[in-house]
Amino acid sequence: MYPLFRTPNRVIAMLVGWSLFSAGLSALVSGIADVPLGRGLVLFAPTYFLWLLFLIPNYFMCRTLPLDKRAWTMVIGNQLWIMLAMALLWALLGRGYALILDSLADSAPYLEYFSAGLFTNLVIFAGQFEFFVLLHYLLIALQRGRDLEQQALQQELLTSKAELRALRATIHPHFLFNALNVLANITDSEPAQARNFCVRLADFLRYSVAYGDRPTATLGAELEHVQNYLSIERERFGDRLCTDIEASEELLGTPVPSLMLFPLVENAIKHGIDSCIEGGCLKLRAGTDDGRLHIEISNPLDELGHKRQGTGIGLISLRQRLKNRYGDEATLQTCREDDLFVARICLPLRKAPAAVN
Amino acid sequence: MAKRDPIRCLIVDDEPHARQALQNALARHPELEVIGLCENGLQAVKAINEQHPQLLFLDVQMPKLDGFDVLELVQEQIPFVIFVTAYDQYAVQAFEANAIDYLLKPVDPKRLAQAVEKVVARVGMEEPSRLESLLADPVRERELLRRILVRDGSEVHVLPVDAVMYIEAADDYVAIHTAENTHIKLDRLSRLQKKLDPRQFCRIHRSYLLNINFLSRIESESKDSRIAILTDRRELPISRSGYGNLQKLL
Repeated sequence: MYPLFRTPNRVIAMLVGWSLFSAGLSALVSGIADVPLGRGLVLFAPTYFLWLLFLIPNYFMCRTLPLDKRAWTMVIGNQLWIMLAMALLWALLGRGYALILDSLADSAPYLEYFSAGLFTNLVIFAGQFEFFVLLHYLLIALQRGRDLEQQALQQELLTSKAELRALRATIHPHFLFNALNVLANITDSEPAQARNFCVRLADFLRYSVAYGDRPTATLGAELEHVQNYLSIERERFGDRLCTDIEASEELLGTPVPSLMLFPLVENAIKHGIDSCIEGGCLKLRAGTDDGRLHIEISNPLDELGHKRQGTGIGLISLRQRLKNRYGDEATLQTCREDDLFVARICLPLRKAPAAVN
Repeated sequence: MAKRDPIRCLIVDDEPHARQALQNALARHPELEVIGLCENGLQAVKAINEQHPQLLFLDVQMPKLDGFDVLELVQEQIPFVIFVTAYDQYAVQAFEANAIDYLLKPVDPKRLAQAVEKVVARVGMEEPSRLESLLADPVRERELLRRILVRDGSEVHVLPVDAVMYIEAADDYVAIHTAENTHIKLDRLSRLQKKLDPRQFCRIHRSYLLNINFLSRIESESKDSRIAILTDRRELPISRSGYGNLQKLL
């Protein structure tokens, strides 16, 4: 759609404006070419109106010849050729129109008038053409800016939606109920432990809640968060839960999306270890390979241990968040390996994730 | 008033603190005696079978066998059940399973006292058998089964439905045939059929429910008499309406 014609009002304004311009220009050219004013109006004004039809398609031409992607010489050359072809076409059409007028009208030599004004008209047409080319490129640049802005907004919306879901999943009411239960059960019998439990729970909640203000965290902070969560669950599971977490010291400062590990660890507990009657060991390994950060989380799984299977929402949401930040450079894969469920994250190591917010 | 023997009860919960806390709280109720603590459903079935408690404090969410699974397996052996759970979403289901009470965790000592009172008042009064009401309950298990639970004395088998070749009706029992074994379960074929995926299990005969994944071919003996040959060459009769069911499915 031609941008100057986007609303009916604009079309009317454009047509009226162009009519006035055609009339004015006819008077001007009539003066220059020494043509009587009335004759000049009849002869020139309709052909000027025709220019509009010649100039508007140039917009689409400009779109196929973007300034930033093609060589300048090529763009200018192409536009010049088109201009010359159009000028020629216009001259032919105008001449035909003058011939028709000649045959209709009594004594006025329209063809002569047309020839007299031809050079002036061609110069003006060339000027018009250049003006429109510039106008069109300007319009395209403005439109591109708006599109980019909209895309960025859309992306941001997607990201925040995914992150909100992640946040909501973090503070699952069942988790809080379970934690409160543990607390109620141990306050009398083990007050010191109960106090420690409260500290861990507070740290855990603080990290989860602060999430919106801090989309990027370090791997070290993420691991600490997960450790807090696991220490809370360990009270509940007792001997059924053992954990084995290893990450080399120099990786702890690596920037990662915050709350990246938690959904995976929570899955491992909720759907994995809790499904096994004897419980099991949650293993987490963080390492580097080929300039990329690799994290692997594995846990035993008894597929018939629970009546319902997980919905997989947590994984989908995490995958979406990684995609929003890293595009195709980050992967999250899950698979079964014998009795184990394994989740693997792979991220570019050096590039800090762009903080969307 | 003659002093009654304490009511023998069993605590079933997968969380160690929860078991301990409930046991501590019950110490204030001499009319109850805790005869055991179970960490999971399998232990519970075994303990119930061997120790015959009168009252069960039963957690709902546990690995492998949840509270309702335990009841399904031992229903005829347990007079009274009190569910103890952190979530209120199971309350309706619990009362449908004839629970005498439903306690939310953390357990409020007053509510626990009320529940104990209820049990004490009811002990000695003859209860109608809860077996029938539980079996006949149409609301339980809205979802399709992924596994079938069978009990052999104190031992519980969890059979994935995909491993079940066919199920045979035998009076009030069903015989569940897998490639290796046959398990007997107190249930009716029609009731079991309702809980299994109709795209996988086909009633080929009044007495046979077939997992069609194990169907190898169908042979006709005469116009109205056909037999199903299973993948391990076992043969099952197909009735005329059963053949209709099969055709619809295949």
